[in-house]
Amino acid sequence: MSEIENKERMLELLADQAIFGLTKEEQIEFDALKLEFPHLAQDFSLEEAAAAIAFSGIEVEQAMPAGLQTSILKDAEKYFKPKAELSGTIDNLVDTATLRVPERIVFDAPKRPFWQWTGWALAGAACIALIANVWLTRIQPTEIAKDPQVTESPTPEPSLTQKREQFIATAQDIYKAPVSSPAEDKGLSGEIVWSDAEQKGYMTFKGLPVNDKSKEAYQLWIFDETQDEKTPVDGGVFDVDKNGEVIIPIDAKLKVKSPKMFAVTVEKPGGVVVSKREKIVALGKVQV
Amino acid sequence: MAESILKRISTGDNTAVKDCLDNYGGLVWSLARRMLPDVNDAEDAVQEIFVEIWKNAERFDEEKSSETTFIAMIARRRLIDRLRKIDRQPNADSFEDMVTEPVGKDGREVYISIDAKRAAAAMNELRPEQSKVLQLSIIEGFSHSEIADLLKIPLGTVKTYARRGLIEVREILAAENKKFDQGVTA
Repeated sequence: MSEIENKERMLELLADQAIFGLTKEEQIEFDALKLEFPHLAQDFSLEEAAAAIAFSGIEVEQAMPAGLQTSILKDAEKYFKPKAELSGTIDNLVDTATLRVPERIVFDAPKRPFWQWTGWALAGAACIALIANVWLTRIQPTEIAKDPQVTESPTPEPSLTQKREQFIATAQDIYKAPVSSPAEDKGLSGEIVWSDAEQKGYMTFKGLPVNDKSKEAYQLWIFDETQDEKTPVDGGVFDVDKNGEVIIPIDAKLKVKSPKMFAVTVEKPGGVVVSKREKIVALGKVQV
Repeated sequence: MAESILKRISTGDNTAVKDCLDNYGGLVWSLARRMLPDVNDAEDAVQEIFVEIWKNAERFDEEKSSETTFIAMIARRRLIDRLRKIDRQPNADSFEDMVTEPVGKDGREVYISIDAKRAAAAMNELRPEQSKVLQLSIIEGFSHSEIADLLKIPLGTVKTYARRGLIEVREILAAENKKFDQGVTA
């Protein structure tokens, strides 16, 4: 198609998106055209016109239910609290599925006499004192800290669903890969999202069976365009411990530059360094 | 001029959340109830919409659109997504119940933003078939195939009417806004 035809098609899709929403196929087409006409992709005037029409037909007959208002205010309380730092425990990263770090090779460090550690201990103590000083004198007295609503209760960790939504809303270079089963198991669905810029992503599966952790684990592999197909990037080992939808953060062990496909294999507990690819349970081809 | 609610939200003003809910809760709720037949579904959707509003508050530019329109835009995106996921059935009693303009009943308040008033006026300037398709799709929440069935016209024609109608409404709104801006600056 010529540039003019493409532009017309882009406008059609913008209008369709504002009025009816797009089908998966249309969304793929739209995403491709966005690359050609980025300025049009940033034009929300059709959506705004549709929104104005929508409100022109609304009569406020009843107020929002009180219970719903309360729920939204509770959501707000959670949302606006400062984001908690990750504590470092893997449990905090996971809600519906359990992500585990694969087995690693550990090298024995040479043993040193205790006095060789003294210098390090002193340096460590000095660092702690410095951090405490900076915290007490510069960071602590903020406006947020004065707000009793913010400081009174512990900050709840956002759920993986919230984290994933926030990631999708904020990441600038999202790759999306709808998940399917190579065995054409219609019960399996989901989506993998990834951002090169953030080196972060999430897998969402529905219908991936619960695994017996003592015998096997799932492992994600990321096929990067810049990487040999024989050596995909390890995207992390995980378990599925409940039926229904699960969300798992991707834990890529190497930098991913331009993913083209994701695959989930069944491996031994703890995962493997190189997969024999004997049991591939899910595939996700990146949409372009 | 008072700072907009969305600007206040984006700067972390806790009181703005309540104001946002007080000002726009009824509108978002009404929009959700109109588009989603199931009340639980509508409640879930409205919760999601408000989180989305907070997330996107800093993107709001009062030079470009009104706060009401911005919020309606976010609400519609979420509702359309949801409609696409469920077996869509709009919450209209019947095709005949469709109204051309919002009408207050029994003294109940009809809330219409300036943009919405202008949009209602712009709809009157469209060809009747365009206006009808836009009403059925945007106001009543019917899908294009449902509209094709209702109006007994081909699917492609429904899309064409809708697209052209929306583009015309956009042009009319832009011209009105320009007139308004010139009036303000004159």
